[in-house]
Amino acid sequence: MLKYIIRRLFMLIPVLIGVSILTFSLIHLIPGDPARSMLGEKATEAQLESLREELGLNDSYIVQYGRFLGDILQGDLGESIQSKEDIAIQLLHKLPATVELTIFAMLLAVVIGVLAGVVAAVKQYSWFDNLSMTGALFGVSLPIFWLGLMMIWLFSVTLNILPPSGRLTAGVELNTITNFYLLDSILTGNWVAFKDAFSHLLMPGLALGTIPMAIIARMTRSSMLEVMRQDYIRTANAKGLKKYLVIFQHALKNASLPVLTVIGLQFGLLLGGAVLTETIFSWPGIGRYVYLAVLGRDYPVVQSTILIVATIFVLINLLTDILYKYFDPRIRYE
Amino acid sequence: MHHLSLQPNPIPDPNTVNVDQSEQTKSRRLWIDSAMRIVKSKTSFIGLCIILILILTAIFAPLIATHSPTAQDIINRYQPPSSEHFLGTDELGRDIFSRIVHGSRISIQIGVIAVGIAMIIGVLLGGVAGYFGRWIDQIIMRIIDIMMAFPSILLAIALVAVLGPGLTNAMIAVGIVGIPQFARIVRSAVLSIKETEYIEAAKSIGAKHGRVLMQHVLPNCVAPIIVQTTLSIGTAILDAAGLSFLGLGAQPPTPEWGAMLSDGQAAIQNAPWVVAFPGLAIFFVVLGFNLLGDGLRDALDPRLKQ
Repeated sequence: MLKYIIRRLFMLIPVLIGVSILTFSLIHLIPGDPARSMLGEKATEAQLESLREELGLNDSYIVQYGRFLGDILQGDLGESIQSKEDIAIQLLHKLPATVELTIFAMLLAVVIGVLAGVVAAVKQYSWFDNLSMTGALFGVSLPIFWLGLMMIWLFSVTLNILPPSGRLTAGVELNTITNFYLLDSILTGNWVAFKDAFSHLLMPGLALGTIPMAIIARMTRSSMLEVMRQDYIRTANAKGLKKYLVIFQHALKNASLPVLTVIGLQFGLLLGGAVLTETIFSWPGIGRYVYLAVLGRDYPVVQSTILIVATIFVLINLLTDILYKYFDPRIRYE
Repeated sequence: MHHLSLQPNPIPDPNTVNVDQSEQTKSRRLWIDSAMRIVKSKTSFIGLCIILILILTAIFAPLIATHSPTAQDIINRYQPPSSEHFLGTDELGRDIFSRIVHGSRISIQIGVIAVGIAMIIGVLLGGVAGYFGRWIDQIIMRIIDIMMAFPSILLAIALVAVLGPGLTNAMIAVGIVGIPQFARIVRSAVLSIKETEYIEAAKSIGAKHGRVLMQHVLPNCVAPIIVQTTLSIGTAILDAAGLSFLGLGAQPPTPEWGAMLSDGQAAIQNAPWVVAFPGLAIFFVVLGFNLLGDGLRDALDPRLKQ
């Protein structure tokens, strides 16, 4: 197992180098002069030259890439053109908000998705099966930005029970330790802040979690149906084991492998989906950060954020593969 | 894996392929069977109907629309749905129904162009990688791996960020991020097809690689390509609408559904219909393509049925 992990980590290196080349090349794909594109038509030649110098755009492509890679390896992601702030610090500050939202969305998706999938499989062709699978089908077709807006209209505007934006209501105090607000409020025993942070998480979490929830529900159902046909399930039933034990201990355990892969893949995709969700709910994470950078043509921020997200995405996929192998020793990779 | 259409017997002449009559009948029968299965399946039939409605709406948009999609009528802004304006009016008093009807043309355009880019490049890359193998395969598939290291919508946003906002660039970006899926599917199909006897036969009588690939291998990958194309159109429309919603895709006054949502979000408190109806349009069209895609997969290759 350890050998496998080490080999996979080595295989990661060319992919990450490729990711860095692609991210680096983005700025060179800009039609015309990148400096002009960033500073706009009114910029003077002196300003343009200064930016070119600052970004090293006058050097050769290879030299630029070497510097880019060297800086990244030292944790230096450069500074924002607009705010002049250190991008690495900004990302570190904003990442917990995105990770908190993503984990919360995934938790909702897994709990509801797996439960719905299991019940639908156990009660195949029942009204619940039909209803949940129709819901899952609708779920994968929903534009999450529209769902988010409709939620705001229903829960914030019409019913006035959930806050429409942000992470915490103005005036609610919270001493941040990790910048994960739910965790921080538990650590400091601040239940007022916990309740407030939780209510802020609900809508964006649900909006972001809808698509993975639908996919997980469908995958769990089909995987459960496959497993429930196996002989060992029949044996477990025949020997009089309680039904919930058969379902959760025997069937779900064996049906969970394909579901695990889907969860891993979806988790990475949520990081992409966070751009839309964070924009709608004004969630101060890296999704909104990159969106504002795109609008402001702040390319160093766009480059760095995309590089970090892609690296996290690749690592999550690797972790999924490792877990898959761990849980199913029958799988052999050459 | 997917031998669903013509499978010629060993070929006498590489330049004049004579397909056996009974094989041709069998193949036609297979497609007819598949079509029957789609029509019989309730869900894929609904999907097919939704797509037909979309196509008809796009063709007859000027006849169906009750107003001009761009005509402003500031006095009548934010009118709720009524007999005059079926789905109400937006912030500039434009008729939402007419804008949605005309927007169907843009959705089809996005579907065809974005997925066309993804399909043509993806099929060629996957086909070449699978057919030639070795270092060609290695290079192509590593590039595909790198592209897949980015969450697709984020890569699309990054591409539009550098290419500049606009519907054309959004379609190109959505097309590019769709390439890996086609490449992988076609590569795996080609890998199994190239080992079959009729490919060996074609090669042994001296047919050139290009001809074997284009005339014998790729036509036998049609089934998975059709399924992927249908499912990809839904995703492409969704992604392009997302880009337009962020202000990176279609620009005003284009009646693109995602852009309509974006324009209307400020008024959600007082005029929720401005946001509700364009979103429903996106939802139904994507649902249609997903339903049909699922149905096609089950009909063309029952082994993939979940």
